[in-house]
Amino acid sequence: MNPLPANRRSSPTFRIVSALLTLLPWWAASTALGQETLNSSTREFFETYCFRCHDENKQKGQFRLDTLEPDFANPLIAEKWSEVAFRIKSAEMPPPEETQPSVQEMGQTVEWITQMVREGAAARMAQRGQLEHYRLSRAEYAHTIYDLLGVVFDVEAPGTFNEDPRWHGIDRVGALLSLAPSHIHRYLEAADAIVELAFPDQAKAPRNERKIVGEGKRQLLQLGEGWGFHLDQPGRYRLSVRASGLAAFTGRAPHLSIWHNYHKRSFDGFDLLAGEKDPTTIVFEGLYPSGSYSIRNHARTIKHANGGLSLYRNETIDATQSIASLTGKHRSPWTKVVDENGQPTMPLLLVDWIEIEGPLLTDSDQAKREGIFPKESDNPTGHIAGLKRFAERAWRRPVLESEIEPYAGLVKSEREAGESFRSAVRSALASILVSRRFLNLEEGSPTENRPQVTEFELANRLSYFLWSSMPDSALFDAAKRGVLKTKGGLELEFERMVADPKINRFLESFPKQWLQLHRVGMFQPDPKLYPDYDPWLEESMVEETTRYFGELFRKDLPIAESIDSDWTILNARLALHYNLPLPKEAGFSKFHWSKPRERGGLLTHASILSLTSDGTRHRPVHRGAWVSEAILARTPTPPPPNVDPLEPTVGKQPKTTIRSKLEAHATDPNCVSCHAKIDPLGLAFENFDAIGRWRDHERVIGGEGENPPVDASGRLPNGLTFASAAEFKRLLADEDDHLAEAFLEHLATYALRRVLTIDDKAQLKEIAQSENSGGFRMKRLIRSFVLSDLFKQR
Amino acid sequence: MNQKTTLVTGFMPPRFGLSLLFFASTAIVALASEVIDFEKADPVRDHIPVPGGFPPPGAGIHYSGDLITIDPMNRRGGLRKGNATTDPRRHYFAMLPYGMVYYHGAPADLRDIPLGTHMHGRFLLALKGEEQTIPPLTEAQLKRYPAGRYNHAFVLEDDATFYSRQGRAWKILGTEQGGGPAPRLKLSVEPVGPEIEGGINKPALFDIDESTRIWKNRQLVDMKAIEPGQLVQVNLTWGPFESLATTDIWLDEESLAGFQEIQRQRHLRLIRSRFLPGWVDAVKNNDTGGGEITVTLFSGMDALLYKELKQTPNLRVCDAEFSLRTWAYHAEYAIPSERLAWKETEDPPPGSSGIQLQLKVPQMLDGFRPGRVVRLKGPWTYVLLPFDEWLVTPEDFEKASRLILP
Repeated sequence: MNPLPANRRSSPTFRIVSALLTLLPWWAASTALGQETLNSSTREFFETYCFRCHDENKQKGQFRLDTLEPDFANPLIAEKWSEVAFRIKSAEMPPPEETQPSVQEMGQTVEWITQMVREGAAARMAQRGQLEHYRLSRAEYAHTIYDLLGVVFDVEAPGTFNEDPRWHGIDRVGALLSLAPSHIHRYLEAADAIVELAFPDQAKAPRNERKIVGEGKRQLLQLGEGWGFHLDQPGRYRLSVRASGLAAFTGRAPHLSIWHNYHKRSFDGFDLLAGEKDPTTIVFEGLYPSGSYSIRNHARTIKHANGGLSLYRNETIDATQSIASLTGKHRSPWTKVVDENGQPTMPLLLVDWIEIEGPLLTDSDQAKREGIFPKESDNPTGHIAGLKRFAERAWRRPVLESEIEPYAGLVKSEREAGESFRSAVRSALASILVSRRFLNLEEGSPTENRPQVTEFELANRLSYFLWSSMPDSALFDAAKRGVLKTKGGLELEFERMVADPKINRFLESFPKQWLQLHRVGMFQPDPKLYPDYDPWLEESMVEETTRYFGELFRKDLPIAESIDSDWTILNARLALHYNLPLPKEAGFSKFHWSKPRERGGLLTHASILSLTSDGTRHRPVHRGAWVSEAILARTPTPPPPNVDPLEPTVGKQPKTTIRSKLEAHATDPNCVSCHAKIDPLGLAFENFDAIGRWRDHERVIGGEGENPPVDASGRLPNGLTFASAAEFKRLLADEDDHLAEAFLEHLATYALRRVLTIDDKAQLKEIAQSENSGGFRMKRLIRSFVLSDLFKQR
Repeated sequence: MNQKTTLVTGFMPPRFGLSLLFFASTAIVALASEVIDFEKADPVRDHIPVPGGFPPPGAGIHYSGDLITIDPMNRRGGLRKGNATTDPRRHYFAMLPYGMVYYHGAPADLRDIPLGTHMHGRFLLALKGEEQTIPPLTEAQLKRYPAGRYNHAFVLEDDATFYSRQGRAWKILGTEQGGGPAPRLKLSVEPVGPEIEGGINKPALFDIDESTRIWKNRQLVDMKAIEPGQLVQVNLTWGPFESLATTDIWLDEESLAGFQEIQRQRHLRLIRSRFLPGWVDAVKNNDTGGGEITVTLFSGMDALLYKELKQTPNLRVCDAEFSLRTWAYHAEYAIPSERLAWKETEDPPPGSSGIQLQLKVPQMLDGFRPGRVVRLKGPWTYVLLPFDEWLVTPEDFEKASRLILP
């Protein structure tokens, strides 16, 4: 039996798969693996090396290959194919005593199977019924609650929601966001808390108080140290902090952070430079979860060897006491405050007080709650009207009165059970918030199979795409008027929405997910090897990348600039990290490179360069895999299990680069076919260490001799060569049409909340090509996607 | 085997011997004057020690007396010469940070020395900045006793160490009954070996009685074992009037070597829990709280300790006072370090081991400053020090800042 039916060879689907097997056109030029070649080569492979033991006459291991259907959408069959690929890749099959295939033959066959299995998996995940539910991610839940009721709800607080699972970095893929009974319990608790905050029996007066360090006292904070305050309620706060910020003797400025002690992250911050005798007041206003906070001199808190925190100074001093006098009086175990010249040895903060105002209820937040909570004196019709108004906004679509009746009935039954009127209404409102209609984006209908979304489904899709939240009233209106599905109407809404400040949610969330920035700091760099690494650097790294994407979007720059440019957006912390002059202004600003473009483009951001590191060293293969996946939308074949790790350099061995070890490792025929494709994409960045610092030599722990020089050159499978990251980026940037297609694939996964299949790819290509003449500009690409048929399809 | 040779050679720990012999060889030249003319300027004698530095050979003066009080936590004490009939009656001192104590020929700490032991010391003027550590004498006292200014000890040693390390032994002439108002049995000896500064360079009579411990073949023996012609080492203490009484007499090298080894082991135990001291020569701060420090280790420690430290690439370092006293939990708060360099100098100045280390540390303690003292922990097991050795509160620092006179 022919395992690869002839009709498979000519299918459009298969042509696309074959085309995607090559990462880039330059590779395609050299490999030239057409569908015919691939089909025949795979079949020939099986006939030559496999069928002798796995056909109708013989089934060694009780396995028959010649009848294995190429039905990769069938999970059982796909699993068998995976096993075949694994056995070949791990050189288990054919067994050593049999005729052995060439490395190239093995590589082609394994890759074909792997690709087909993956496509099958995507197809299975993307199988859509008549009614689809896409559960809100926890970030979307929080945004929706704020936009619905003006309530800040901490979705990451202990006992609330779990972190959402990700599909290659994207945390809103419906197939992964399941709803378990434990979720329901937490949603119930959350809904009660939210409604209580929005409609309390007695509104608490906002707090307005000043907390001082002490009369005539200041709090001295060395790096990593903080002075605490507490917020009882979540909400919008205005926090005013009076402090001095003293730069270290090198000029490194302190970063004052509003640090949440549980979340272990900053909610705001400021690079503060203000003299000892010239303190300044910084005002932060924003949305804050409740809990314990610190005004923190933002840096890594160094763990002492005994498990405690090292004793960086955190003490109250007299306001009249000069910093220069703090020397020699506190010996072990205190860290020195000033150096031998009386200059701070590290950035210092001197805090006087904090003023806390809040929770503040803005007019717009107040307006969100109006017209919802009925008066006790209202008749039942009035109660239903309030509940219906709330449900329409919460469920983000028109609601029938019949849908509201159970909730009105709940008010009644609660009253009968002895609950107060307000308590009974709150129960009904909370119930609306635990409805599947609130927790999910629902697309489709149980009674019909629609190929396209409705106006309201489109409004929701657009709103959650751009704002990570519910539609506003204008978008509701547009949906009600039925203009969203017109090109002009949708375009008008798109332009309006991207001009709204809520677009910042997209500009922050999408690049983080697309580029998998959640991996930054996942493996904390070893403090012994990277003592300069600190949480402010980590936050700055991520912010550089999200701000860079924001700039690409706002300025509507060509997608090639995502890869290669002469600018970036950085702050003082990153300038130190990149060994650049300190910017004159506090905060982030645009910086233009005068030197060759070592750093321009996302690929050489410290965030990207570090997210693939393992905490001790850079990992070129992982870097290559990331480029392949995130930039080229081509997920490499995962390595087989039990691959021997690269051995560390020890004893009297000469110091050797990771690259050299990798090249030795990749001569193994089992590895070479994959590494030949992945490795050049990562080796191009050899001039950057595990936390993204420039280097000419690789620091090798162990071994003897000098640290070896790095080699960032490479040769792509199509024969094109590069000598540095800059050259590699130029080669990649020239392929802007492919970059645009890959980018759109990630964008569509994020927006449509599902894994794309080969069926979608033709449309993605079409959208990308429509922007070819404009140079694939970022905002235009996104707009074209929103206006495309794909965006409206179920 | 020549008895004289064996009695003196076992007392020469390498780093001890190097610096002290250098001191002695130049000091002998000055012996001609015997009585120190304090009116006459002598920049070497009157060298003022400074934090971070080491004194020149020949600095300071020799003084000997019975150890009659100690403050072992802060390495301070007082000597009394004879009956001490005139004021000031005691010579109070603080050990210099690199000051060395020897007992039974091995490195020691003040706490190892029994009160009453007759000790020889070399004393310098006060360490710069530490002039109040030993309460200064009045002008009238200084006029009577100008040596009182020299109150920082560079070395302190018992007689057995003092004489033997300089190649000296005592030859037994016999015993004789003394006369006078307090008649006592006397051990009659004469010096064998070179004339030495501050020593007894002529035949002498030491009191001997049933309290004297006499050692031979590593055993306590009867007085009858003493025979004329034997070369011996003795330790002394005050005797009635102006005499010196023997506390211990070692009739052979083996016995003395046994005592030396016991003291050496006691010293090893002490330093392994308190760590090896040294000066900070230089620092290089980074701007995130860490940096590099360059440290020169003091001399006077057993060679094994330096060797153990050398075998420790990631030693720990804590800061200490000039008294070598450390903060609470000194072992836990000792900062881990990465050794960048280990350099040994052949001919170091007195007080210096000649070993200089460059260390990279993640945290620069307030005491990591040039001229301050640090202590380096080798591969030694953790020891929680007795609480009364800790420095924690400002009151502790205040109390430890000067010798509290008994």
